[in-house]
Parts: sequence; structure tokens; C-alpha cells
Amino acid sequence: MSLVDALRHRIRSALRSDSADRDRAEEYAIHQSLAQEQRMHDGTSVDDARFAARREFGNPTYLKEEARWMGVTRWLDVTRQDLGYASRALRRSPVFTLVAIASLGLGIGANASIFGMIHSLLLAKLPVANPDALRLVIHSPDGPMRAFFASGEVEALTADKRFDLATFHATVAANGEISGVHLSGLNIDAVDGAFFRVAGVRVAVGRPISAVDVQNASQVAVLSNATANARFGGARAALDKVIRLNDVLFTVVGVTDVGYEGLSLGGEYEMAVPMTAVPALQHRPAGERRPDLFLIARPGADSLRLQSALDASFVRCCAAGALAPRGSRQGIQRIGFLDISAGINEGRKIDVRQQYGSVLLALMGGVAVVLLIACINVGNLLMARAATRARELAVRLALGASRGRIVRQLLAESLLLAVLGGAAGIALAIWGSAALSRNMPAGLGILGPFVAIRPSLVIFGFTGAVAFACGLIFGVVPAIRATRGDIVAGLRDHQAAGRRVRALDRAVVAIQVGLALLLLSSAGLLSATLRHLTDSVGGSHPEPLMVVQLDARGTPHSDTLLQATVPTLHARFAAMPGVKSVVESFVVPLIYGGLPTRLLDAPGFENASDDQVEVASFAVAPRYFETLGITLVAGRDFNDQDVVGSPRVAVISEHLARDFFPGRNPIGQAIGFRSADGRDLTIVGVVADAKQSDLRSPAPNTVYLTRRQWPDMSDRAVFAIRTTVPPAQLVAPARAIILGELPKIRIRHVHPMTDLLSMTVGREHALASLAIAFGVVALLLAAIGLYGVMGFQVSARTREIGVRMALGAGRWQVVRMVIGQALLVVAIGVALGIPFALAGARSLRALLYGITPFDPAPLASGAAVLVTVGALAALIPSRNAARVDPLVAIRSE
Amino acid sequence: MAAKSQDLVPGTLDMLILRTLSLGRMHGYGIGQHIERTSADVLRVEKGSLYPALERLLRAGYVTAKWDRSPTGRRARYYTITAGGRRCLGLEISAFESMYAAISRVLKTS
Repeated sequence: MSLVDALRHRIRSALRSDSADRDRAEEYAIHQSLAQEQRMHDGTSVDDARFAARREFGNPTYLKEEARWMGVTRWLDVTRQDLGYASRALRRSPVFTLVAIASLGLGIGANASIFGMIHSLLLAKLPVANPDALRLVIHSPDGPMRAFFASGEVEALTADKRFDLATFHATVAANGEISGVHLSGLNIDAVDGAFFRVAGVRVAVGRPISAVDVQNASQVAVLSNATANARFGGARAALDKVIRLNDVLFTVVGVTDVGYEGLSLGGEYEMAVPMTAVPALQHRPAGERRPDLFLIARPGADSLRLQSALDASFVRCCAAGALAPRGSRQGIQRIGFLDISAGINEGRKIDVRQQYGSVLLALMGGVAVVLLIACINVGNLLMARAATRARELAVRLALGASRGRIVRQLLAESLLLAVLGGAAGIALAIWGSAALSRNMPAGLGILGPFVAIRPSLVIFGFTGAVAFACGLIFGVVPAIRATRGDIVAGLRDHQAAGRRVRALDRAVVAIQVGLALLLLSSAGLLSATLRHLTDSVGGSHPEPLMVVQLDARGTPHSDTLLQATVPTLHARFAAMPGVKSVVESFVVPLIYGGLPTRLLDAPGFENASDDQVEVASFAVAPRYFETLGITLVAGRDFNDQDVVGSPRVAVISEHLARDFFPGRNPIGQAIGFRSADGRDLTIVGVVADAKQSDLRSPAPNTVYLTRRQWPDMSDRAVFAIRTTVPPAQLVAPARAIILGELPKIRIRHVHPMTDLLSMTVGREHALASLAIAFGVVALLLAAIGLYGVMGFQVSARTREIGVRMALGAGRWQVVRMVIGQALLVVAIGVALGIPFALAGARSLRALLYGITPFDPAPLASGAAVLVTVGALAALIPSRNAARVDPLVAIRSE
Repeated sequence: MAAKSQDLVPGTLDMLILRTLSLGRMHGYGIGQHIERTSADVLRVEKGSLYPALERLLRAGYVTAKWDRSPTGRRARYYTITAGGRRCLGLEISAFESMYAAISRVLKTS
């Protein structure tokens, strides 16, 4: 019974706190009047009795508050009141509210988007059933991730029903026609019958690819949800549709779950087909083994047995020569497992996680600092507001509100701002990142899959926590300070409360300046890195050069056809108006991923270790150096007389000449390659060093050979075209020529070299531009803060300035005084910022190139910018100070 | 602000209120008066403690409150002890007595 009563009472008082308040008010009034009557009865005068009763009773407001502070409901109750009060207070000053919400929204939104990228790149797990149990079978921790087993071994292992093993090929490429749209370079996962079960991949509609499909080599496909949506407008609509892959018809039997994008990290999986259907798809003989196979497993209770089965297989593979240990550097010890709960981080030329992880962490630091500065600014605004509201607060305190309650109410205001800012931020982050992922800047395309934020609990939780922390950061100090003033002084003169705050204001602005210095010097370091990297391409001048890369793999065209067409293409490219020279070469700077290397055999280096004599070596066509702009330093280029049968010749890079022929003329020297037919190559020329794909490493020592003597049958062809007109104009004609000759070829690149260059340094470029943007925002916010503080100071000291001027101070002296004070704040801020900037630079070390983290130049220029901007920000307040009319100023108070 | 329960042994106010109400229903002022009178004005009940204590007891379900007319015809809020309140009172009294006895023993030892 009593429990029900208690419950009813609580619910009622929570719902009807107003009526409960009225109850209390009436009850207290009755109490007072009874006490008053008692005293009058005892013989006290009416007034004295009333006063005594009131005094005895104490502060009724406080009592009411006290009553509300009890029980579970008080929190809800008071919070509801506080929020109501806060929203009224915010509505009363819409400009302040909008500015605060906008700056918080931008700051929080930036944090949420970067965190979203970090989350999907570094923290998120594969959207498959129980991803933590999924393993990739690998040969050794630093060895290849794909399985290179002797023939029959994989089949024997996967046939063993005791183990959960499955195999697949990632990103088999094909051209396709889906619902009437021609698509080149589709990425297809070729899977075995156990794949969907072992990987834990679920289908949204239809069925997965079954063992029967694989057995019969059925031409069936399971589409990714994104593909189904893009091509058919939905998963259900895609079912049973027929699609064309390299002119072979496949039926869609299922669509995978939303969010699954393949097992590879940042994978581009668009559909899966049975592994056995691939030969038909690629017009290759059935039964041909592709070497690049992933073997995945779910070792559970049987993991020991599985390991011993793999060990046994390993021994057999070594015996069969399929797994011969490859040199001392990467000895294969044993087959092991790799946790791939976050996705397979391989199969792509660039290790996304390693390359961009550090970038994202740096960006996270940057946006966090920007947000901190924005919070400080909002805090400053709140303090200014509190100063103008000092009177209101003093009245409320005088009327009996407890200080704690007013702090709570001011905090509620801050937190409401923070929540609104957080909501704006997450909306901005989701909308902005979706827009960004559709239009990724050149060179950052690889990050595309990670950019778009999917609303999830993690993201909302992070944003909420950040917003809450912001509210506390910018809310607590102003709230506490607003209630600390002397009530009487506050009631009399609201400026009095403002005067004591100046030192704190200046300290806050100094902190902002320090943080801005951190961002500006980081931006300086990163822009210097970008400049050094771009300059370091050396040798090959990027402009005006165009690069065309063709790939016959996965297309109906054979490599023989491609190579047979190369001369025709060469001639037609050369005939395009505006073309100066064309060269066909397998290796063009910035395109080729891993350079072929050989071990050089040169006089005096017979006993050197492998590492010392490892050089890059590949065959090029005549006029390669001229076309790519690699300067010929000595000797001659290859020419048409260097053919099979004539003496074999080589051109070496300048650095190689210095390393192997110090102080001697290398021209005419004989060199060779170890484990080859002796030193049968004659050096005929020396060219400038040219960087290849990795701009951060020094240009490799290179031995160039001529294709006339080293013919190379390849399924790829790369043309470099030097032009006299802007190469972008030639992209469309070149494309037309290629498709005229080889209609089904996969065109991997038709790009001006400058595009390639900006793709190569895209990461650095994006990072540098973002760092500059952060720096500018920080600079602006610090300038606004400084302007506000100096303006407030000048207006608060009008009288003092008037007196000074009356006593003979010139206008210039006043201006100097104000600017000098502003610069003092900036100087303190710079001094505060230097250790932060150095710490920031240290954490950027891995991203820098050509500049040390402790280089004083970025720090000095950052400080110079801050001093200039600081002086500018103080200019208007100082002019106002100089305009003070001594007579008016002195009379005004 | 007025100091709370300065004149009472801390923690005994609830017990005193419940004891008072166990004699019959009463309004807030009456409760305070009753405690002061029956203690021969030794115990003083601060109003700043009385009403919060009543609120606490209401929320705990030990008392109920109802607006009514007093014998003199004026409106007042009357508090009534519940069964749970009586149980609580019994427990509090026995706890207080055993503590009181313990304190006395300590004070009497020489």
C-alpha cells in the first residue's frame, strides 16, 4: 500500500511540479500566518510578529528548491526547468545563439567526420557474422598473404570436412553490361562453395553461391547491395536479372547485405561469381590455376588439428618446390593465421591503413585543436554575455536563488548550446562526408570508401561525448564566475563585475594564440613537405606530358594482340596534332608500383652483398629519356642500331655511376647481372636520376636496357606522350584512338602527367591544404578573440584614456599603448604555443619530407603571421581609443 | 540560510515527526508545535528542516498529505502516518533506544 502511495506521489509530483509548487507555497504561507498569530497572541506587535515569523521561517524559495531536490524525480524536474529557462534565454539572443551553434557545429562536424574515417579505416570490423573468429591463412607474418600452395594441396585441404576453410580470388577484373549500361573494370570476387559460410557473409535477398554452383561452374552472380541499388534500383529488383560479363551471361541469384564491401580493406567488390566460372568469363582454358588465392579459415576448437594439417601441407609444398624459402631475407618458417576481423589489408598497391592511418590521426589532432579554439571562443562569448547579465543574475541571487542553482541554469544553457551544436555537427558531417566521398580530390580517391559516414551508435556516441565535453569546457568557467560577484555591486553597476575579469580574458586569448601557432607551424611543415616532394620528382619534367596505360588482363584481348597493336597505336598517337614525341615503355615514373630489380655485376663489386648491388633494371624504347625529360648527362641514348645480335648496351643513372664507378668514366665499361651470362653489357650513356613511384625514397640506382634487345611480352602497355599543347586537350582523342583499335581493352590511365603527380602527392596535398585551412580558421578565431578583448578594454578604460589625454598624452601614444598591449598578449601566446608546436611537429615526423620537425622557419613564420594579425586586430580598438574626446570621457562618469 | 537541525540530535527529526503523527493527523505547523511543547520547549524544530523532512517522508511513503479544513475553519495540509510509517517508526525507536543506551553506558563509565 505504502509503496503504491509513494509511487503515485512521485509520478504526480514529476508530472505536476507546478501544482506541487503551489501546494508548498500555500502550506508555507499558512505556517507563517499561524506562527504570526501565535506571536500576536503572546503579545507582540503585528509588524514585529510578521517579521519574526518570516525570519524564523527562512528563505521560502530555498525551501521550495530543497523540497524539489529530493527523490528520483527532482533531477528530471529541475532539469526540465533548467532547459526551459535555457531555451528561453537562448531565444532571447538569436545572433549569439546562431554564431555559437554554427561555430560549434562546424567544429564538432569536422571532428565527427575525421573520427568516422578513423573508425571505418582503423577500428571498424567486417560486417560479417562473428568477424573476430575469421582468419586468413598466411605463410609468415611478413610474407605474402595469398596462398601459394603446390597443386592439389588447397583442394585437399578444403575438401577436408573437419575444417572450416574456403578460398577466393579478390577483384578479378572484367568489363560488363548491367541493365544496358556498359561498365569497364568491374571488380569481381571469385569464390568457392564454402566461401559465404566460412566468411560469414549474409545475403539480403536470394541465396549465396553454393557448392553446387561451383561444381557445375554455373554462370550465376551475387551482387553487392551498392551495385544492385545503383544498377537496378534495389536488391529485390536485381534478383533473376541477367547481366553480361565479358560477353558471358550471368544470372543474379542473390544480393549481399548492406555494408558488406568485400573482405579486402576498402575493397571495391561489386559482385561474386563461382570460382569455376572465371575461365569462361576470362576466355581462358578451364582448369587453369590462378596463382593469387586467398585461403580463409575459422579455426575454432579444431585449431590445433588445422595447424598440424597446414604444417604437413607446408612440408609437402616445400618438397614439391612450390614454397621454396625465398632468400635469407624472408625465410618462410611455417604457415600461420592472420586476424582479419577488420578486413584484409592487401591486394592493393597501396597499404591504405598504413599510409593514411597517420594522416588521419594528424587530422584528428588538427580538428580537435580547432574545436578547442572554437569552444574557447564560445566560452568568451558566454563570459561577455554573463557580464552584461550580471545585473539579472544579481537580482536572482538577491531574490533567493541558490548559487548552485544559477550555476546549474547557466550550465544548462551551455549544454543546450552544445547539444544543438552537436546535432548540427553530425548532420553536417553525414551530409558533407557523403558529398565529399562522391567528389574526392585527385589522389585521395582511394579513401573514398572510408569517407562517407554511416550513422551508427559509435559515431553518435562519439559526437555526443564531444559535444558534452565542449559544453563543459566553455560552460563551467563562465557559469561559476558569473555567480561569484558581489551581489550588491552587481545590482548597482554591472561594469563593476566586468572589471575583474580582464586578466582571465587575456589569458584565454593567449591560449588561443598558442593553439593557432601550433596549427600554423604544422601547416608550414606540411606545405614545405609537399613542396619538397613535388620538386623531388627531378629528371622527368611533368609538363607537358601525358601517360596512357592499357591492361589486357581480364579482357577478351590477348596480350599478343595488345603487343601487336602497340606499333599502330604508337604511330597514331604520334600523328595526333600537338604531339612532340611518343614512347612505349613498361615503366613510367609515378605509374609502376614495384620496380623490377636485378643484382648488378660490376668490376670491384664481385664480393659485395646482395643489398649493395641490387639495382632497378628495366627495358625502355629509344627516345624514352627525351620524351620523359630525363637529361642525358653523358654518352648517348639507345638508337635503332641497338638490336638483337648487335652488342648489348645499357644506360645507367647518375647515382649508380657515382656508386659503382667513382672517379672513373663509366662510358664503355662492361657490366652484367649476377647469375647471368657474364658482363656482356656495355655502358653507352649516363642519365639524370629519376624517381619512380615513391617520391619519399631517393631515386633508385637504375640500369636501363633497350626493348629492341630485351623484348618483353606483357599484358600491359604504357605510353608516355610529350606534347606541345596542354595534354588535357589530347585525352579525348587518345581515348578514341585506343577504343578504335582495341574496343574491349581496359584503360587504366589516360592522364596528363601533372594529374599523376598530384595523385602521387595527393595525400600530402590534401593534408597540407587541410592544415592550412585549420590554421586560417584558428587565426581568425584568435583575431576575433583579441579584437573582442581589446575593444572591451578600450571601452572600459575610456575614462582613464581621457585623463591621460587631458594630461598631455598624444593620440599616437594611446594607439601605441593599445597595440602594445595586444602584442603583449600575442607574445605570451606565442611563448605558450612554442612547446605545443614542437610537440605537434614531433608527432608529424613520419609525414614530413625534406624538413626536420624542429626546423625554426615554420615556427618563425607562424609567429610573424600571428603578430601581424594581432596588430591588425587591435587596430580598430586602438583607433577608437585615439578618438576619445578627453572632455566627454571625463564628464561621462 | 538557517542551520538545519542544529538543536536536534541529527537524524531524529523523522522519528519525532512520525511519533507525533502516530497520535493522529496533523498539519505542519501543528507538528512543530507539538514537538516543541511535549519536549517542554527543549527541542526546537527549525521550519527549514521540518518541511523538507515531511517531503522526504511523503516520498518514502511513510506519510500521506491531504488538504482539509482545520477545526477553526481554515485550510491546512494534514499529514497522516501510513502503515509503512509505523513500521519505520518502530524500527527507528528501537535503533535510537539501543544507541541511547550505548551512549549512556559510555558516559557513565568513569
